[in-house]
Amino acid sequence: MTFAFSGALYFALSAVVLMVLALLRPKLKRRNVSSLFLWEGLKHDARSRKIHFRQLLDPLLLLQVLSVLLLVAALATPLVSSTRQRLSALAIVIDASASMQTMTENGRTRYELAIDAAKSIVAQNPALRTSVIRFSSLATVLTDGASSRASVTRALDTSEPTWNGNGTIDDMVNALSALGGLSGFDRVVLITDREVSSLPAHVERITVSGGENLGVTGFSVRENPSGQGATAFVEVLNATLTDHDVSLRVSDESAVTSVAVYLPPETGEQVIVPFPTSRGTVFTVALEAEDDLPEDNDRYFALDRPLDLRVRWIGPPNRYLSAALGAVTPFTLVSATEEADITIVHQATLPSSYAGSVFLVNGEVQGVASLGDERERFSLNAVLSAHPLLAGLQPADIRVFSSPSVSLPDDAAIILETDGEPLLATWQTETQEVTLFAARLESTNLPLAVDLPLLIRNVVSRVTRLPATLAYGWTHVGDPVSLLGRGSILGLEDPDQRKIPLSELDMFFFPDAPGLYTLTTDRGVFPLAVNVAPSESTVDVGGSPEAENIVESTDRRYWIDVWPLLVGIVIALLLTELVARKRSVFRLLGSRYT
Amino acid sequence: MDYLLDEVFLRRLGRLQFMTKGRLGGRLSGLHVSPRAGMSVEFADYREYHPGDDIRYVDWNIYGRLEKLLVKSFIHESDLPIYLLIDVSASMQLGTPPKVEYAARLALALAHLGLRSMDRVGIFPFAHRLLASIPPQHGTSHIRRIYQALSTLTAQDETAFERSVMDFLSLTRETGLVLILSDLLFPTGVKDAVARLLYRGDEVAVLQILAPEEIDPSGNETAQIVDVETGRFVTLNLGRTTLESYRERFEKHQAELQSLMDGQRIPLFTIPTTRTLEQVFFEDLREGGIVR
Repeated sequence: MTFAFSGALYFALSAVVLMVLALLRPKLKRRNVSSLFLWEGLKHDARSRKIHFRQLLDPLLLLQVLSVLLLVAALATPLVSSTRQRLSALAIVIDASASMQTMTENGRTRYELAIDAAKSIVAQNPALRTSVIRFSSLATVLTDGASSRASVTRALDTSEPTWNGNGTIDDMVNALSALGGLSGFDRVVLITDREVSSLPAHVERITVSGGENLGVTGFSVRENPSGQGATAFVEVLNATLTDHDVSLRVSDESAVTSVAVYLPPETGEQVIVPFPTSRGTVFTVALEAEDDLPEDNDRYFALDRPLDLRVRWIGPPNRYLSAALGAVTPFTLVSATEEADITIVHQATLPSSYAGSVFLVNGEVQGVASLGDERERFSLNAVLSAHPLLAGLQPADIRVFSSPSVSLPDDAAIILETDGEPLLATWQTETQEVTLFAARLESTNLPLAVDLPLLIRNVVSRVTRLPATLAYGWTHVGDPVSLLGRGSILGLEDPDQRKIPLSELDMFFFPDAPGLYTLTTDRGVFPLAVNVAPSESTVDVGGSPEAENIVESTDRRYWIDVWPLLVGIVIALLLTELVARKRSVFRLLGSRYT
Repeated sequence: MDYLLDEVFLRRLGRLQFMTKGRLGGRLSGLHVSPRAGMSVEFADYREYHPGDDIRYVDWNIYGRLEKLLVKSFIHESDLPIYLLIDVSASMQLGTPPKVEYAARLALALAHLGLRSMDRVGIFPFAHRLLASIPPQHGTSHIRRIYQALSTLTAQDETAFERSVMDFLSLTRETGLVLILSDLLFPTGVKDAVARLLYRGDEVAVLQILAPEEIDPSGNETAQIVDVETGRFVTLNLGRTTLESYRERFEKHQAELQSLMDGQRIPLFTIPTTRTLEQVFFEDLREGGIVR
């Protein structure tokens, strides 16, 4: 027997407290007599002493202590293992992560072995309601509990592994919750190729193993700080028990560099490959080796270069404003006929019919927002201090020496004000999203403060997603890939140039195979590199090639919750005590012995 | 404590008077026969004339016939000193009502009866020794003092019966009717004490006052049996067997007590506190020859 919450057993100390309290309770009744000589001769009455001892061991106290102990045991949720199978619902969770596609020595993949094991379990339990879950970083219910045995077998036969990464135990429990939760199954079997720690108490694990693997477990490319060329960083792993001389081929679309690497058993090696003149954005690395999981031998990397912000400037130029904008993001000034991401209106008036995102700096919108006489100002107040436009700013550090009076639309949100006059405000119409900074920059300390680029950043990020900085992380198969920040999406193709259907509202897609995907937007063509998760390359439970490929590493034990039984016994005991007290059963029993 | 006696009971009590088996020596005239011959209507005997005898009691008819001077003597009716020895040891606080309270009421009734019979009544409470006593006096006005003394009786201390009797004997000179009111629940000392009283010539009667639970205890529990006088205790489970053993032991004690009293021709009255005073006087004491 084991306990799911063994910490609750500490409450057993309360039984000690109960006994101490019972002992402290005055137990013996005092009975005064005129003289003891008539009673003293009776104290050696053996039967009386027997009853006396029995009363010291108050049966009702023993009942109470027993009840407390049973209640504490119930709180600890005891589980009793049984080898007998009395099941009604079975869940089979099959690990479908990429490592399960490792070919084993008998010519079958680990996944196929897992399917065989699952079928065996189903065959042993033909009458059970069986649910099958294909489990990786994404869980898929292949059959629910209502399925027939034939449909379960069919689902197992037709199921395929994925190139996804592995999910966590919490993911598995969440997947089971869609089928009624972990407790809804009498038996849960996880078939996987990896060690799993902290497996829930009544989940069995069947391990499949076999196959050898070499793979690239890390691949990254960085542009050189000089701006000329790039450098590739490669990490390669030998997860076998033998030495390997392997060749790495690194490519930047135009040039290919080959590197020979010696890999001792069960070791990794890091390799740096310079591309001094490279201007490419797509890099690949290929490990030329014979192993049982070739899909992690090829890795992809795409430099996610930032896009320029398209800015339409209206009004006289301002070098402080331009410098702050340039510090926030690369930008390009566009003409009135070109499409812009944001319009900056500096000391000018914008027609009310203008559409788009607008940043007014000491500017006006005709008939909507106007500026009046400029006056000397002495104070500044943050009206909406938690507004996103103030993120990172310190309003107390901003000084405004003079600013004009401002007339704003009624629905404008005033964020900063100076001497009661709006300084920073924002509003939205059907065609415009406007942010107004009313004062001239030269009338404030902003040109000299860090708050100006912070304010510009907040304004720009509010109207458009800032272009991504250079990203060095990998995108893994099965993980969501963001499509934002690259303009309006025109199309997406998988590594085999097949179109992936997307709607305008799609912000993510889930790649299902490694390779280079191609995203086409109105701003250009963007490669998206997707790889098998590197954690899949290192999965090996240590099975030798000759060893049996299916290892039942956990006992086939069936855990039975005992706490309802214990609670039932406690209730029965307490009822017995209640009846005993009312009817003085024990008193009657006591008199029988006297 | 309310020791007032019922008026009807007192009126009935007035019809009773103490009986004594022997002739006890009283100093004053009373309703009891005195061993001393004296003037009364009841002829007792003749004796020779001695100088100094009242010539009014010379039987001249005898002198005419026999020429002897004989003096008629008559039975002297003296008052009877009644000594009420009341046990006020701690054991007398037990019972409902407490035995000491019952004893006080009984003593008050006895005193009332004695004083109405022109006897002198004294109160002698005792525990570990004889306590503050009221010497025997006659007269119905004496009842007030007795009442006050009885109403302040408090049960306390251990019992030392024999020593208390010795105190009593040294304090009193006249023989009389000694009424002992006690539970007599002490294993030793009774025999010697009553022997000392009888040796002096006192007429003794024992009124043993017991609480019902002392005669027939009940219970079904584990209890500390505590001697209220000594504080000693035994822990016992009170069950049928135990209580039967107690009853056997109690009956044996009573039998021994009865045997002792019978041997000395001392009437012993065992009176549970549940018994009314009417029952005690008009049944127990009358049938026992203490009153008539």
